Amino acid sequence: MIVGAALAITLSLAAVSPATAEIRNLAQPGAFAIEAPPAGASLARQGRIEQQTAAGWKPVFREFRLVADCDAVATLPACVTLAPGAVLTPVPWTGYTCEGQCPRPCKRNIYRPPGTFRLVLPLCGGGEVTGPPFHMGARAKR
Amino acid sequence: MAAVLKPGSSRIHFGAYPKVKTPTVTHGKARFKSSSIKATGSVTLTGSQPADGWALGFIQVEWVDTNWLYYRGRQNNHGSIFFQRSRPPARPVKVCRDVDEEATDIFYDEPPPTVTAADRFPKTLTVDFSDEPGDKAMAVVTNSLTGEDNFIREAQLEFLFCTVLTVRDPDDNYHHLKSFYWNVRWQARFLPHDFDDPNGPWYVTTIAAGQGSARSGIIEGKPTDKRFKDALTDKTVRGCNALVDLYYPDPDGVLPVGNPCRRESRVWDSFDVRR
Repeated sequence: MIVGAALAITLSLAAVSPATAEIRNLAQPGAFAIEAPPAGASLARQGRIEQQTAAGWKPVFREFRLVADCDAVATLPACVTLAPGAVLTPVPWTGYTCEGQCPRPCKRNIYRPPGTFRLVLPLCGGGEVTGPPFHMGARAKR
Repeated sequence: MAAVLKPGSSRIHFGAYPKVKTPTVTHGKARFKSSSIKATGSVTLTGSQPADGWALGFIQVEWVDTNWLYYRGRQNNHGSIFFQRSRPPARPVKVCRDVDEEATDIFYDEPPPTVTAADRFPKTLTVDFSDEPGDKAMAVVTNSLTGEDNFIREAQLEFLFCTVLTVRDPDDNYHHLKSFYWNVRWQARFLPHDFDDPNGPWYVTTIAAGQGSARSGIIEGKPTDKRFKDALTDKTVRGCNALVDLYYPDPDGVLPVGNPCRRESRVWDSFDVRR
């Protein structure tokens, strides 16, 4: 009986609060807010952007860093810890496959949109958090 | 009858022409940027099914890379540093294949447009190509011999590419159809407005002969250039972006003291940029 009650409480908590971090798309395509659950979260410092294709979701940018400032990339730890309820808004994805977030040397550097994309963040300790799909359109002429 | 390439049907249509931008120094970093180069390739297959598996793509190699940086201190006894980023061990190869970082691909952009079992013939495959290469470097590096800050003074970067329109048949044979050469080149001298504020504005003076871009006309048939023709489909040839970490190592992209591609002097020295 006691075990059953404990299970009921656990299920109840799970129903009202996400067990892991949540990714929200912001108004600017490629911009995200990552919100930690009440227990906090530990995320790998680097996630990926995937594109929806006829063959499924395909990675198009593998170096999405959890930094709000590109100058912090060099000191980013392997795991980024978010305090309970904390919200991180990383530098947005630009749409490029190489220089997709912070300036870096590139030879192959493709502007991937238009298309449907999503952010995927590995969790330290296993598992991944997948964000909702978003659309990014073709860019204006540069 | 299986599907075959329709003779004379391959096309490359050029879009945007690549242009280099004047280098900039902001937030303590020198940046070398270009605008997009764009092209569209196509080819028509005739015949009939079974033909699924025919694929069309571009293959790109970078066959010449120049990449050196010269730094010097505020005064002669603050020394100078030369970074040779396009020679071993910073760049251990001459030719690299411009593919996704994992370097297991052949085509520049995977997956390529491919014939499916549902397609009817004649079937035209079309593929887009775009690129926008660029680079960066720290604006200030500490000279290990003098302990003084050395400031980027001059840099030359040249990326020379060949881009090939190629069709892959269902037996994994690659048929190179057409190609073109193109390049982007930067050369400039740098000077901070105020040595005490290297994060502030800088004077950047381009060197006309070393700054620019070019694109060839379209060359028919398979490439015959001995400098890279055997590298096009050779998976042992490394991917260009995978080489970046060798000349731009974490955490700040500065080759460490002791790397043969970093040469230092106690004075404003002259360095041979060819070596």
